[in-house]
Amino acid sequence: MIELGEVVVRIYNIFFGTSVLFLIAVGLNLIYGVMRIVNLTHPAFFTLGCYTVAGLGVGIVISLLGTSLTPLLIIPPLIAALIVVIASLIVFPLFIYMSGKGDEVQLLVTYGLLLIFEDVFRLIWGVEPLRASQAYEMAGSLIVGEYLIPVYNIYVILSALILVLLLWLLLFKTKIGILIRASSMDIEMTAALGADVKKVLLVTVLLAGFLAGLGGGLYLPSASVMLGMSVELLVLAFVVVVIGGLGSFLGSFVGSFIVSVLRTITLMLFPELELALIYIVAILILTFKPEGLGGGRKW
Amino acid sequence: MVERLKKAFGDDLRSNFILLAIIAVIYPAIYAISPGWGIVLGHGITWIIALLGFNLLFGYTGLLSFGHALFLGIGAYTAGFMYKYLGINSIELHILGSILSSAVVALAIGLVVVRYTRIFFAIFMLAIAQVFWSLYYKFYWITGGTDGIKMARFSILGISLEHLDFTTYHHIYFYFTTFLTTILIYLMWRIVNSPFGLTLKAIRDNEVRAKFIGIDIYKMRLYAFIISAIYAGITGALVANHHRLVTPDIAYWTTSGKVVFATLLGGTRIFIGPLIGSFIFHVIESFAMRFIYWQLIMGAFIIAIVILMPGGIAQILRTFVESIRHSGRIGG
Repeated sequence: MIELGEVVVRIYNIFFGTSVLFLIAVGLNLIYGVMRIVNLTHPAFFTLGCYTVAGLGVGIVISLLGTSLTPLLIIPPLIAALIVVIASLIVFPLFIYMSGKGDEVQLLVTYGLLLIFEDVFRLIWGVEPLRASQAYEMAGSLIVGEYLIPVYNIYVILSALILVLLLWLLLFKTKIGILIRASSMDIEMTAALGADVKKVLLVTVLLAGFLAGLGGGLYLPSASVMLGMSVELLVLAFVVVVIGGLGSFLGSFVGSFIVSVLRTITLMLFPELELALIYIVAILILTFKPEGLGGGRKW
Repeated sequence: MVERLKKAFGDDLRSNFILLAIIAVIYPAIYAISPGWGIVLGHGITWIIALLGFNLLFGYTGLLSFGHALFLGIGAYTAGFMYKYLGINSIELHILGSILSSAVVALAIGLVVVRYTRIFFAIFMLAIAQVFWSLYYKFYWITGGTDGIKMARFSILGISLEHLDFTTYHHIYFYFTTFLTTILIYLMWRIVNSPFGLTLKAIRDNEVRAKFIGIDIYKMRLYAFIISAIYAGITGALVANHHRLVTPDIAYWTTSGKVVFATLLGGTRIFIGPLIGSFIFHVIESFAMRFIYWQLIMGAFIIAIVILMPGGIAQILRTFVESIRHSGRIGG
């Protein structure tokens, strides 16, 4: 007999996982949608966000504003997002180079970048896992039956919801958003109609980087960051993208949710086989519904 | 002369053997001067096999695998398990065992993954390799976890080598591996030049057209995948015996990166590419290992190779030789 408290905790973990995965997957899908590049480097941006908060952001906030909760909740993720946007800007020329090239070139170049990022993390922050759980601890916990629910994680879920809303507004209600969607449908036609496609590509890459950095910044206080995390996230984010459908905005959401549910269930029943079971589901979906569960719609 | 050189860096079997023969001849001298470099050459010889397999899959079939460490791991753990649980330390049996196990695993996985190409194939391979790596980690009561499986010295033709000094032992390993590599290079040459190999190239160059002329693309890819896995598995078994230690590291994604990088460096689509790639990679690695940020260099190299010299070193040498011939003609 499973207790009510446990059910609440599990459901709440599913939402937390969904939020985090969504912030990674949506950027992956944005870049694929517009540029037709599967950006293997993308999870490294999330990891960079984590490292920035742990190694830089929290320290800055504490030294300038003292250890108080509100700035610790808001400022470090924004610093992380800023750093990742700068990193995205640095690699942007490579993305322009790759956008017309074959899949192999794209895979190899983004893979090379992933290797570089992993070592840059080691160069700057060393091999030890980093934590910065001040905000997480200060926010405290709610008690449900015998279980504790960290308030911080609720903050992450709410932030992700607000970001989804803002992203939706951006993509559907602003001019640049309409151009991004138009480019993802037919980039040549968009260019022919006089849009500055290069600017659209730049905004897409920066937006994806911003979301990944913010995601990493929000995620870190509840966990720790270590080397090799980018690859683990890549493996997970890719299942999300396969399940939801490559390049689909709605799919990022559906995929994140399903993967979180699967993870929660497998971690409960067969912790050793977590990844294996998730991948079996991904392969089944790719076999029977190759366009993903996002309905195959672009947006 | 120039014609021969030009051929050497293209699709020519003999130049592979000449290069191997030169290395086999100079190896004792290099080992005598510095055992460290002798061991580096030993690594070079060992990895040629896996790179040949990777090149069959990527260069000739067009399937880019980011998870070749999977099969290196299978090969290495097969050797490790054979020693740990069955007490077998015959290197020939380890190799046979790893051929069998990597073929079986490749068949099971290949039935699913070769249906996909490009992005999906690349990342599925990465993910499956990571799954296996995590299993080696988590089932530590079987695999020894991070401590790995320690192995005794291998025996060859039933002769134990325990009593030998390390130098002689390493020489035996080196020449045994060179012998094996020679055979496997010959076999790979027969494979890529057989109707099967040409079919693979046809599929790589134009999948739709290949399908129209009645080629069973899926089956051909599966065969290439299994052969490639067997080659990687053999290297895995050899590496296990060379290091006498099997740890999950061999199945980690960085090992896959090493395979991708070394093959690209030598040159894909060119038969001698893996041979050149393996040696040059291990020479660079032995320098760069002192510098711990080795992945950073590797990543930067991958990007530079892809953008600046897609044919790798073999391609550069070929172009160089062609330019010599050209200038010779003008002069004459």
